[in-house]
Amino acid sequence: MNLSKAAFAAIALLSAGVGHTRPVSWPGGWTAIGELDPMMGSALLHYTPNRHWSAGARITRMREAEWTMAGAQATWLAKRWNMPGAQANLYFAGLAGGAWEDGGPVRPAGFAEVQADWENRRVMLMGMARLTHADSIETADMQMARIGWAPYAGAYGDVHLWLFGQVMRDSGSRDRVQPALVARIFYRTLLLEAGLTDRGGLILNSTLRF
Amino acid sequence: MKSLKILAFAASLALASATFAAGAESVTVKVNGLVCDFCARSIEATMKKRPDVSGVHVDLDKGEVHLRLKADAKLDDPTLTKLIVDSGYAVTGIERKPLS
Repeated sequence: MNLSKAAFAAIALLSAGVGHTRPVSWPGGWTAIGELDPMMGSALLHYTPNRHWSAGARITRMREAEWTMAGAQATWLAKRWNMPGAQANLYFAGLAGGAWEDGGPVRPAGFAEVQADWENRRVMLMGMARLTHADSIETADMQMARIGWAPYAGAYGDVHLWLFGQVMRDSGSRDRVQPALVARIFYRTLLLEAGLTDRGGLILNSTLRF
Repeated sequence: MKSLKILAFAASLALASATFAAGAESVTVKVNGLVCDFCARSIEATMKKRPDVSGVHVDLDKGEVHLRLKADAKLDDPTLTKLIVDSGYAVTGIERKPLS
């Protein structure tokens, strides 16, 4: 990794954003993912040794609940369906590490996650569920579903635009269901998302592959 | 004598050029699952590591990957298929044409 790529990755992480994109890259590729929504902010840097796996480090700040979790994350592409004009994927991910409340001791923590998606050139469906446990701090489950539409089918090398409707529920956020609208643009290996929840909460996501 | 040397040089250049053109290839790989530019970057990243690949283009509409191979390329169909599969896609056909 040269210096310019590292700087680019750092910018992508700091600019926040979950990608909600394919969490496994090409063999030998690095990916920097950032997420920010009203409930939490997160940064993940991972490496993909082969097409089935990625491994990296994530730090997540639960903004509402005011605790932090950090650890090593592995993601497994369990199954990919390559079809004429469409693709679908099934992923499992897990994190093991520690969590701490502000000023408190570090406790064992982790999460388990399943994610599935289907897309063609103009329509995308995605769903995920995550169970998070932070010893003596919190145990929470989260589900999210997305449906996306591309206003145009851009060619390879174009700037691409997608518009998503998203619904998220998190037991760590008083079981609140948060609908949101999210716009995604990407160009080559940089992807950015911006959105608003029904209560005006900001969503900023970013993914950079290098 | 000088004209003869120029003629010989021109002939050798033409021969070298013809040899190169006969060896260089254009390859079209038909691929399933090729729907997303962001994800298809994996193909470009993988192919650019190959010294015998001089050009890569992805056609999302047709579901095709277009490669230009250098004259001395040793990228056979099984290796090419493995590279595309490792990039995350399924190969349904490979067509090769000599570059003129």
